[in-house]
Amino acid sequence: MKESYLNDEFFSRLETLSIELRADLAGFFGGKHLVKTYGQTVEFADYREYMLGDDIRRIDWNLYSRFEKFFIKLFTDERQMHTQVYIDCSASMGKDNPAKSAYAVGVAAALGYLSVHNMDKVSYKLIKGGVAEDPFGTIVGKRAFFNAMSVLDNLEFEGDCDLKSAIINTPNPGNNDGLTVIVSDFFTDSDWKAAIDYLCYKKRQVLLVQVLTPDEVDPLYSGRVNLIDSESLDVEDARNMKIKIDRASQAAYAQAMLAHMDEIRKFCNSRGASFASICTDEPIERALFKELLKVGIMA
Amino acid sequence: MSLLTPLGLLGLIGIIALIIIYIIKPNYQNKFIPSTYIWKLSLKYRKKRIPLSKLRNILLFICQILIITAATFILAQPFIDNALHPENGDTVLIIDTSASMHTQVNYKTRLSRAVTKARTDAEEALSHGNKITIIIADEESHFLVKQAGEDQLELINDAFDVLEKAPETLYTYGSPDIEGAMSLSEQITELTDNVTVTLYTDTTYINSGEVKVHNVSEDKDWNAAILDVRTSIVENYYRIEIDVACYGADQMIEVACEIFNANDLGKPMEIYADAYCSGDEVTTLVFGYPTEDMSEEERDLFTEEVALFSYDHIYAHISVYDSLDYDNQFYLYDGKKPTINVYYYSSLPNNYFTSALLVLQDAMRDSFDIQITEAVPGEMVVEGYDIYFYEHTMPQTLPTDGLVFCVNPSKLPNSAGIKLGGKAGSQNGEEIFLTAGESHPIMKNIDATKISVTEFTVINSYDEYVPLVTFSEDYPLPLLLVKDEIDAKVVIMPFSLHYSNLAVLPEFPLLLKNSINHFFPETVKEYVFETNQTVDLNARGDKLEVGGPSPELGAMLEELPGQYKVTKHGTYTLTQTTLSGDPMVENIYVRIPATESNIFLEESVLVNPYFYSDADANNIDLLFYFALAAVALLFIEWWLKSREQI
Repeated sequence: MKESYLNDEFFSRLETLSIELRADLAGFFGGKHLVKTYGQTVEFADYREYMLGDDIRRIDWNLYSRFEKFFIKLFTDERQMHTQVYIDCSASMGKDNPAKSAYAVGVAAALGYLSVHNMDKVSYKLIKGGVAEDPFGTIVGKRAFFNAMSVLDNLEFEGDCDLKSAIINTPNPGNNDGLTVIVSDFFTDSDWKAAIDYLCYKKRQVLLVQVLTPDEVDPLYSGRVNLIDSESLDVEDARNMKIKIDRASQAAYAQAMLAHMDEIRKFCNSRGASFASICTDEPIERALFKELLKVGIMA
Repeated sequence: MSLLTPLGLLGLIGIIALIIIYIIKPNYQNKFIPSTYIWKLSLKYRKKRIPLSKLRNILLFICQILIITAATFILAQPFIDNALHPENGDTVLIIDTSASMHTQVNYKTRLSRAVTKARTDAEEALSHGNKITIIIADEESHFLVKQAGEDQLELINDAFDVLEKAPETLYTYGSPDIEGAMSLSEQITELTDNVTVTLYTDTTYINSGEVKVHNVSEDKDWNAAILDVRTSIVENYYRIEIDVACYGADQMIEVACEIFNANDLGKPMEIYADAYCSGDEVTTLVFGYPTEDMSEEERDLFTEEVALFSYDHIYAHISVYDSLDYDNQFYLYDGKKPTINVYYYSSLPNNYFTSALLVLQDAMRDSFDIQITEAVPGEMVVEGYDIYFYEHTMPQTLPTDGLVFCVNPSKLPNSAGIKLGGKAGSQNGEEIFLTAGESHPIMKNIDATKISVTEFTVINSYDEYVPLVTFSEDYPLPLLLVKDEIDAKVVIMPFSLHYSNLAVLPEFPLLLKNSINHFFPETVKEYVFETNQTVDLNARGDKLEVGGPSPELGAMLEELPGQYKVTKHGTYTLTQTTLSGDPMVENIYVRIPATESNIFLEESVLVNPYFYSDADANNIDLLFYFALAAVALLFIEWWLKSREQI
């Protein structure tokens, strides 16, 4: 039976959470996210000196009586954000490991649900090769969301992925209007840094979610093995490698994995992006509640 | 260090197997993983650790070799042989002096090599304060030196000097009495609990027990031998079979066979045949005459076709330069049998005697050549024969050069010592069955009560005679008497065969046979013996002279029948004087035992003396240390492996 987290119970547990976005995002009118700018909500934000042209109805007469100067009240602005979730649909994400693919889809679905639950827009971009497919368009509302989930649940993971090409060449990447989530294992030679730079250039809040299996975090196999990459075309593919895995090899692997994650983390920190690495042996709820809360994306 | 089971070292083959395992490239198993990205990244981190990993692999390999080596030595059961020279103990040296030890290469015999080694070992043992015992394992093992310490060094040296310079005084040409030697050594092993026993021999023992065996044979030794020659009569022709073997080498051997006085032609017949001997197997050459009714297969058995119906003796020999020549020739003296000349004189000849004698002539052809002469009436002979049968008419004087049968004598010469009376018998011709008298060898298996007479001559006096058959118990009139003295051997039957049933009984030829066997015993029943065998001898006279292959081996037997032990191989001559005063010479041949011809003899078990203590207690057993080393190496190997893998 295909593993899937996309059930009512899963979504109902998410309703206690919300996505925390940066306040400097512009977004769209009509959302629930507080932004830096001042808007037309009823929530008082600040005072400002009256300037010619301001609406005189907003003058705070109490302050005038005190200071004999005109100040106007400023109110918070709530905007609607557009969450874009890029899902790495390469073979490494779950061709031979349905648990990993289900987990990735689950994380993507959770973030998407939180968005639509908070009245935001969400769109799913499926990265296949160097192209990011947008099969659902912009999803608004839960009905459209669940329609998309039924398709996401049967997603095929195969081939490779070029994050840079897929993200940079995405039409309508948005501009300062929300969160971009990249769900991948980041086991790719493609220049994902350039993709993140592009997204930062587009003033999007970036979240990288790395999904790994326990075998990828800490491989237990050893001996003389011919490692066949799931994205390789055949046994002779250059991606495959013959290796004698001993204790030294495993230590080197752990070191390489830490270095790789460290590199992603540091780069994200330098670009103001968030990075969360989750393992599929952890219950998905804990991953969402713990890791994403830790990076400040969830609240 | 010594090894209890050196065959255990075959375990070192495991090292070759280990090397092959390392050389053969093992198969890489395919493993499907999501991505090799991180593994490829890990290579640069791994490179730093390669030297350590290589060192670990080398250490692992060395460790595994050492484990195999340790396990191999454990199998071989190593020990330090302290017991060879136990301090203040006893060292028993048993030296095999059998015929095969005389095998010689480059003028050095195996016995000399054994003596040299034994002497060296004795010197070393004496330096450890041991007492030396030397046992000679000849045909009857005996002590040469018994528990002699350093204070009796001269005695020990003298013993070895004898062994080195005059070994023939301690030789045997037969087989060694190893069991006897071990039994003698028990006299030492029961006195002390600190003793080693070493046997110097050329026999290989697969299991020598606690006795140390020093094998003095060399690969260069080889021996071609004629093991046996025998004849049989098939369809009136002699068939000669010669067994040939070659030990220590595969050789084509030419066998020469000389048949003396073949077919009474007066000159020897010579036959030559080649025998290819290999693998210590015995090859049999067959000389004979195939008869018409023989099948093709039977004819193929013959090496040479020879028509032989009589011979005196056979001499088979091989001309090779092998290491032991004791068995390169063989004599078979059974062709010519001693002759017994029988003379029959009767005033009324009948066929009873001649028929019985002809029956005996055929029945005893393997022992005697019985020649029968039937005298012409009127021409009586009293000398020149071995047995005289006089019927009815007796000679004026009885012969003294042979056995005389007087049957139904009408009168006897005074020298006979018999006084004859008148006739007696049953009145109506009724058979009177006789009674046994005194026992005598010529009455063996003869039931006198079966013999009946109707008429006989009464013997009034018979002082020097023994009555063997009498008329009855109530009337013990003798009806068969014998006089068995050196100068007179006479048998008297005072009744005619016409008035008795004796001639038709089997007792009659049996009586004649017993008489021949008693008065003309076979000198020897066989013609081929092995060295150290005791030969039963007899003679017609009261003396038998035995001449051996060496002058010192001769003997005169005056108590007959007697026995003589043949100690050396070769031809022995048996000379006796017959009743007629003529010399009679017979020969026998003594060969070395076939086991001694096999100079590379292998025995499975060596009988050990009873050791009252465990001789191995003096040895330092290294098994424990090797086992400890193996365990330590296994632990190190496990540790290295665990560092290598998860």
